[in-house]
Amino acid sequence: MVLDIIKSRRSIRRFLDTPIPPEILQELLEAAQWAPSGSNNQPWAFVVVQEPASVRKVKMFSPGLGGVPAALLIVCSDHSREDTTAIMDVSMAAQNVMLVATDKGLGSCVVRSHNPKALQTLLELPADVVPELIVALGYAVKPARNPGRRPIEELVHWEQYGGQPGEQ
Amino acid sequence: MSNEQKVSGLIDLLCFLVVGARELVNEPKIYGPMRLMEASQRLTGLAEDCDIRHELLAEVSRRIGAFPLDALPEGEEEFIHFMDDLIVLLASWVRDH
Repeated sequence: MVLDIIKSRRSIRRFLDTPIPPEILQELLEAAQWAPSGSNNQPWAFVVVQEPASVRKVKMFSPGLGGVPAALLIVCSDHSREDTTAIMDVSMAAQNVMLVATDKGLGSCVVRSHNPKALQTLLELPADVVPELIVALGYAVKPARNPGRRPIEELVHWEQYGGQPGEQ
Repeated sequence: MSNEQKVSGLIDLLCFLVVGARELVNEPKIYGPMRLMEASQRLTGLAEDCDIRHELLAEVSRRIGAFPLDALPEGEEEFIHFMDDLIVLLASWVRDH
């Protein structure tokens, strides 16, 4: 079930030195491709970084990136396209990727702690293409603990803020 | 370790510190101590790579390596105690030398 995959996804920061099979990587990219976007503008670009030397260089400018992932997916907004909803759109694409990764037994972690200008320089991105998120991918060294979630009753309001289910 | 490797290690740490400083402007407060602890461990690792070996450096490296930084920020209280203990370790060494 999709909900089981959603609930079992964890942020993984320690990865095995095992490459990701190309066919799985292809599925992850298709998951990104098929994310929703405002007016179907698809204001994104995705850069796959797998070469260990290149992963290391990206990591040097991404203090929040833990471990040594087998691959990085640099999720960029593309401002040469209509970009009103670009930040939300690329976020949904990243989530798609992480859910398929979980389904395929891969660990992932979405990272925002990177320097966009440094990554634009390293990856030779055009000025309009801005790295918004990094999705670190690889096989987890060990399963991550369940960090839990706030109770659903605390998050959800029925009909109006503070409303309980079944109330008129 | 060659001089080139030492320089590479230093530049790696330098990038981490400079980018960390810049990005922390917009990041949650707890990320600051996390980054500094990681930098501390990288520093001890770099010292070891450069054949600077010392029991205090090794102990600091061991302690930081054993702490589950991955569990943050949920385990913030535990993290604060961990840093306090590390400071006591360092201060005790400074006092005695």
